[in-house]
Amino acid sequence: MGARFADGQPLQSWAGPATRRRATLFALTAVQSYIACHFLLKILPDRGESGIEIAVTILFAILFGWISLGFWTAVAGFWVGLRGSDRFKITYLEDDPRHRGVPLARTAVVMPVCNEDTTRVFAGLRAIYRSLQATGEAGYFDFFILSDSSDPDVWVEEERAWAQWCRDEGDHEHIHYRRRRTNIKRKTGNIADFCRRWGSDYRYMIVLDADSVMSGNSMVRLVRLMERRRQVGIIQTAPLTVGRDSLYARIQQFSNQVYGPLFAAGLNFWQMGDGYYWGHNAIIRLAPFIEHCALERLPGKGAMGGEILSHDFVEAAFMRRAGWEVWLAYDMDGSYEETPPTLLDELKRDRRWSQGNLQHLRLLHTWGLRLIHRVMFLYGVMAYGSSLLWLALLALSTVAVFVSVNQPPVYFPDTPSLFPVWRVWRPEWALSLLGSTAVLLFLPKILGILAVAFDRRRRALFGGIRGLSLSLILETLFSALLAPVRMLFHSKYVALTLFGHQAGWGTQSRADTGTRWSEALYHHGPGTLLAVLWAGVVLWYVPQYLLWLSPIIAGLTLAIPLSVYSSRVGLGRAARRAGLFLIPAETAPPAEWSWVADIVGTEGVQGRQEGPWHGFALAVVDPRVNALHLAMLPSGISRPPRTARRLESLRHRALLQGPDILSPHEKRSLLYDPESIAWLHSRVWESQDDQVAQYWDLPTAA
Amino acid sequence: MNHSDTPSSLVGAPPRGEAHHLPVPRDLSFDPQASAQWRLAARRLHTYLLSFGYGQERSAEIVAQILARVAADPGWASGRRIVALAMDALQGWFIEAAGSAPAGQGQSRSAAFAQARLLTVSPSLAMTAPPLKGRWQSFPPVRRRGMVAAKRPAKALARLPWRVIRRHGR
Repeated sequence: MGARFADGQPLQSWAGPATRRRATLFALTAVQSYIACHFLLKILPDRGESGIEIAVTILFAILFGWISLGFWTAVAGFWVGLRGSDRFKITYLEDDPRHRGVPLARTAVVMPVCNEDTTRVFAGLRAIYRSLQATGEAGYFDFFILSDSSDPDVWVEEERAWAQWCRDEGDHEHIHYRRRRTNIKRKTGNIADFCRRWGSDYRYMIVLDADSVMSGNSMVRLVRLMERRRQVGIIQTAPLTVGRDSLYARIQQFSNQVYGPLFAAGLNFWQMGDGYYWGHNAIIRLAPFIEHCALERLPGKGAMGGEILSHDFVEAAFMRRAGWEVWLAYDMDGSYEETPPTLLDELKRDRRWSQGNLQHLRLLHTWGLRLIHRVMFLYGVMAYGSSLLWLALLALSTVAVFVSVNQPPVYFPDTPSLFPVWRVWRPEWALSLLGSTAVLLFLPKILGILAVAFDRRRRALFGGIRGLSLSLILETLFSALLAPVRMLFHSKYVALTLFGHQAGWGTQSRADTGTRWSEALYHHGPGTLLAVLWAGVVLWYVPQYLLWLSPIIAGLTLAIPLSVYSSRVGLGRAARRAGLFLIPAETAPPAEWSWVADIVGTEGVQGRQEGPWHGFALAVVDPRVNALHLAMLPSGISRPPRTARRLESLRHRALLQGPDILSPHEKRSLLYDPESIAWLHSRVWESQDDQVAQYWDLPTAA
Repeated sequence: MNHSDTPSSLVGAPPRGEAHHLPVPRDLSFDPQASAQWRLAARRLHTYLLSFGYGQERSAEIVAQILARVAADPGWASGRRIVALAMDALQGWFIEAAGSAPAGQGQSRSAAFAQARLLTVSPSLAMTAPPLKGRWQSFPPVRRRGMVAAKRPAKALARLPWRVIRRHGR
């Protein structure tokens, strides 16, 4: 790759500074961890000479290194923010006046969906489309809705929504809908299918998630950056989480928007062109992606084999292996996504993510990857693996305390010594170590708040100093209470994955429906029980140790009410009225996000007005949707006689007993068969049987 | 409903060969004199056209036209159900009005009906909807070496008992 821009301008090399920064970062982390371990060994009663204490020290070293890496990343991000300029950010090019004149290239905006809320998906797409129209550059962009939806009702709704969108915009050239019958390799297969069929028509694709929203301006900026820097393969934006009302989601949104930019800037500080790809809200250069990023299934069965669930990290690593740069545009605005509305929804998503990240263990030794990407794989593994290590550390510490209490001290060991060996426990030293660990955990939060507070405009958008400070305190308390809950769940996920248990691929919940008490009891009950037992045993044998465990015990004991109450939308809105956890998207909503809300509202009303049918019944009864669905099916399908007989009997049953009697599989079978759908449409409307009319919501003779 | 792409020939103008003069009520739904079958046929047609997107008035006009056709058809007197006859007439009306290929010319009547409806709702969509074709560009052969472990994985990891960190040859 030449060190020049597309227009021949010299390009500053980032490789040297990146190496120096990484070396500094890892050196700081290593030194800090070494000092902390040294201190720990002095604190431990046997000074690290027993087996348990050695194990505790090793676990502590790994975990301290992990949080230290996060700490220094945040510090780097804060420093970048303080300096105000960064020569090594991808958007630096935009300061050049020539940049604005760079022509765009054909770009596909692709959104893979799988059984998502259709109204929300199309509202997001419409908002993006509208925003692109406003830039005057919309002609370069084509939209692709790549559906893997298996739910027959969602399938029909998607077709209807797509056709409605095309009609409303009068655009039948730039908006495409494609549904796969077989969901081979899930999301990666879905994208790969797009690349095979249409990839060569476009230079770039912007990948969106079902809950993504991007401004037209940010998309145009991304394409222009890619056009200018021809050696860049992927530019990932840092999406801000917005749009949720539950208390839990609002707290997550607040922390994402206050601390997130700091970490994103810090990540770019040491990753530079070796960055992450997070799977959505990113632009990808298609030719090298097709050439180098095809993902095979991992050999073997079980959770660590098969399809790679967290494909995005791997694709970034492969892109980089082929010599293409991967950048994080951490300061680009206009990129949004939604956060899970409840703690349980987030934990369900983490089940899949933890498995995906652990699969990367198998890729650590993959041929040709850059060292930094191998480190980033480990970084991903530690995001979940650290929980198991933390749990092990707590368990071992408890055992060590029991042992030290119950074992009589040996003042004169076998080894010759002039002085007795005293067992010394210095709580003040332990408190110092705990304090320094707390600094590593909480200082990044304070730096995040300071970064906002220094900026008058941003400070006002977050609700002013009072709102920021109160939100910081409450968010810190909330995250501290939830940390042990997450630790327990993540530990379970890691263990399950290592034992070969597969995670399901359920659709992520994106609705503010709240958590029921029974649901919370079912999921958090075992953790609460464990905490009570743990506390009881400690209280019985070593009551003074309970104080040290209290943050863990408190979090686990309060998990059920925390999970339920934080899922409430009413509490989230009350907090907003009180000026807590405010984010700029709430105080000054971006146009795209307001459009999404408007469209969701209007679509809901329209949907109710158009008729009583939805999903499968809509495809059978509604004259327009029926015609559309028939047009979307491939023509000239010939059925084997046995299948034809089965379909015939099925459609008769559907006619006489209504749509609700059919299973999703049966509905799908009928939806795939044009003859059955056309037959049902005619027969339903012709029927004079009142019962049939009632089943299909049609006027009866009475 | 947006009718911006509805062919102007279809909105307001009656289909060819329409019998206007027949004394059939515009909407039989509320006519106590009409038989139950006629009323049901009228109501079904009306609902169909409303859900297709026509307004109340236009729908009533079309219903009257269709029912006039049915009344002129000797089939109903021969015992065939009126609702079925009315829906059949509606199909013919759509096919005629949209000017799509009638049944028998390479497609079934139901397919012609579906095409006519699609043409009426959105001619552009009817042209582009099925199927979205693109140039097929195959992925290059998957690089197996890219996925599997190197020849010499770290010994410590290789020794771990997890079957997940097995060594795989190229």
